[in-house]
Amino acid sequence: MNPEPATLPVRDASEPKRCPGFAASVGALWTLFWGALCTGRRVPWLLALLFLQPVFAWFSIPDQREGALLEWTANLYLGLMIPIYCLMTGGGLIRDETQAGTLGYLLTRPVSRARIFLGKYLCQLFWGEIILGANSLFLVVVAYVRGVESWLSIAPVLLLTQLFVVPAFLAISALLGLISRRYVVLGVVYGFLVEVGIGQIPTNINVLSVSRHARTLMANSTAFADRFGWEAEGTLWSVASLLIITAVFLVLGTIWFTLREFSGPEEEKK
Amino acid sequence: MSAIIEGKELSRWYGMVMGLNHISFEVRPGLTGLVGPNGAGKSTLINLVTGQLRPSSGDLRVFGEVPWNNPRLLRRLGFCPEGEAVHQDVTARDWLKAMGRLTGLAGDAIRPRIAEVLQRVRLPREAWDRRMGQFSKGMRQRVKLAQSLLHDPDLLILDEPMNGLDPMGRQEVAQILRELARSGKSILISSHILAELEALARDFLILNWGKILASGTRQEIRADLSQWSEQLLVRCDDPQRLARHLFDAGVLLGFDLDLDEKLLRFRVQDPPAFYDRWLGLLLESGTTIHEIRSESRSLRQIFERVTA
Repeated sequence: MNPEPATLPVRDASEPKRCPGFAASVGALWTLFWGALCTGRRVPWLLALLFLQPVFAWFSIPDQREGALLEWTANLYLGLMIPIYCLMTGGGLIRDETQAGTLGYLLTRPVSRARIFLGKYLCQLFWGEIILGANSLFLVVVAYVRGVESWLSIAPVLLLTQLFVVPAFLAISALLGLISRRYVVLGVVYGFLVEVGIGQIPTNINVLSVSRHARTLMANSTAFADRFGWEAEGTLWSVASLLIITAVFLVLGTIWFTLREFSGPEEEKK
Repeated sequence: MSAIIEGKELSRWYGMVMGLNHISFEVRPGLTGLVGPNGAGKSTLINLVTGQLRPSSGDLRVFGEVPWNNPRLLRRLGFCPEGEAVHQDVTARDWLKAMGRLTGLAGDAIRPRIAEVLQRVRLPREAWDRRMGQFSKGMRQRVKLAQSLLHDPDLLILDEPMNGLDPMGRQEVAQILRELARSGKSILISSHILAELEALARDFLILNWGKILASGTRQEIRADLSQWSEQLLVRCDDPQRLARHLFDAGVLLGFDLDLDEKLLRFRVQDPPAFYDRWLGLLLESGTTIHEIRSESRSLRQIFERVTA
């Protein structure tokens, strides 16, 4: 039976209405984010995200074969899996709300669009770091169990690299997701053009490539440096570059999100 | 009474498609109905008022402020969009908690406020902690309405809030809106269910093809319509005699007799002039009148007339 209707207490007109602070906004967005994660139909995906990579690594890395582990980590995990994860989740940051028709609820709250965009980005980043951090740890565990000697030197470098690379890839993906609903195609083009293309050019222009900086960070492990001939020189510069790339793309995304209209037949098709 | 929403020469285009075309209007405090067929521009107007769209040209003010990208203004607005979309994966209570926090409600005030609004919209208590993806259309409408009430807004903007509700639910929502209006809130409500809108709203904006065809109270709109013909229904003991008398007096535009029911339905041009003579004509006809009803004063007839 329906409850009896209550009479809503009327606000004192002299009482000012407040806009929420940034922390409150992020907390609210996290409630929505977490609620969407913890659904029965998402659990299989979550488990797959957590365990598929280490399971495949287990079967792909023979005992005491350091080379196989390093190839797996550098080429497949860092070079492919992390960017794809970031592209899918970052691209859907706002796109998922527009497709579900729920963005209007957020845009009509007394919160600046910049806060909404950054808040959603932080939620996704926090979760991404946890999921990918767990993946990295599982990979190290596989290396340890498989008797790869360099597992101890790989672990901190891998976690540190992931810590700086994920925000950059997510920020780029979030902007791509705002630009077009075909953000996956844009991401692939961006990857070939900037990460593979420009990233391989041995001039200053390759500073734009996130994976180039990831290689510099990974080179702090002698195992990676020896195997791939990467150099750790300029590690601090690479960290700074990754932070700058993150900041630049976040600012661009924030401006785009602030100025763009998301209602109306034409806007919804973009 | 000063306007809470004011549009001047307002236009909105979607590329080559027209949303609103050069409209000027005012919305006064109170309950205002936004009337128009699909594609008339109602949702465009609502999206402009809630700051989700920018005008292509012209000026729009809500409480004296420009609504586009204006969080300060949004503190005073509550918005219930059209459609059934809600964050399906979260529970009603969690959703309202998130919406409340995004509206500036402090942590300790949220829980009781959520309970108040959920009770107010009569969402069954057992549904409060269920994911909204499992909700019926009517339950979603209720929880959507609840989120718009959370922060006690000064202006509530509702886009087709009755959709999906059963007749009982419509009555309940109408009752809530009346109470809110009585407590001094202003409400802008769009609906294609004219009878319900008519029972609720005092003022109306009638839109079609991106234009405002008429605005004001029903009486004001009718007064604005020149060449307005009025249709009356009279039940009397001798409808034939009355019809002949009115015909001889030259006031009839057309009539229809139902002798079994003893009904005369007729149309008159220039209603003000007709009403000046109406009582005299009745007395002169010598018929006994049982019932007189105007059939041209309903919102539907005004709407049909205006959009014709």
